[in-house]
Amino acid sequence: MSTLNNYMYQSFNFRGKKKLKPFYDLVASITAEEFGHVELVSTTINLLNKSSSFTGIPDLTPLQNAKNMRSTQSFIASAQASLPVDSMGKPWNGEYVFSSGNLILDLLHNFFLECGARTHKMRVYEMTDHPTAREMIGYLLVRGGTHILAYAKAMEMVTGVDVTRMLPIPNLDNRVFDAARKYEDRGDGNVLFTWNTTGDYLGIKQIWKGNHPQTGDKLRVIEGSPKGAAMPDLDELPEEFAPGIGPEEFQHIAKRLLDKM
Amino acid sequence: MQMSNPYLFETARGLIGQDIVVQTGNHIQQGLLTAVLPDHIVVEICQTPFFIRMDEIVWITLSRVHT
Repeated sequence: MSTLNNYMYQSFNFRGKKKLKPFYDLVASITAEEFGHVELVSTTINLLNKSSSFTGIPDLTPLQNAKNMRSTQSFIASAQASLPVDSMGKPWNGEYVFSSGNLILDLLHNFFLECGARTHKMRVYEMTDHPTAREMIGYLLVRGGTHILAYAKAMEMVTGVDVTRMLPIPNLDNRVFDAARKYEDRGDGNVLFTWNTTGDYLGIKQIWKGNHPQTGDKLRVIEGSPKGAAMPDLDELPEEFAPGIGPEEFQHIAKRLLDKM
Repeated sequence: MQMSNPYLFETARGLIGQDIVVQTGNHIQQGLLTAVLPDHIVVEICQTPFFIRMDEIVWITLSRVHT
């Protein structure tokens, strides 16, 4: 949520979009990718939430296990699905957005933010061995690493300082994580997408070029977006009244929707 | 070998073939009861068998699956 909203506001607020186009292009295209990452994490959370309640009439107390779970609000405010809060239930908020308007400061902040995100992911990886969680974290560790490098290279373009010499932060290669290794091997860490098919944001080619400082692989910009995968559908939870549409109501809705088409 | 829950064993046997809900510790499993043995039951969830120890069961009930 923070990477998405930081880059989004920085892109909206960018002063000198034409003069500093490659840097605007970078922050705008990475915003689009982060939108996908937020959806990815939400979907992972939603898939992990199983077997906490059962189907039963209200008097059978089907949500009885919720009282002992880490987040009761997941059962109350949401139907055992995601909300924009941290692991302790603290809501995400706009104060986490840093958009100073100064290019070097914002790039430096973004570099720090991505390194922080990486650190958190590494720790969460060490907290669970659930294959779904591990798969998501493994993939994001690689893409996060790419973003760290992207901002490091952007800062080098602006200041001449070789920030990549500080990497990796923390000092542990993505390859050490089993779930991340296959994405590294696939070369997912060498690519930046423009997330656009009408020729916008190609300015990132002037930043994202040369070779990866750790692997030596050639860095590539690909126009468009990655292939993606089918969106999983989620189970109905009648005990949560979600979606709360029974067979009779469904028939009425279908009739109204199909009427006069 | 002494059976630890002989009466639960008999009761559970009567539920074989039905959709049940099993509470173990802090978790719930919901599925088709396919077999009952002296120290465990077999519940089929998404066509996958789960072998649940009799000692871990807190309660069993019939599940009413709303469509």
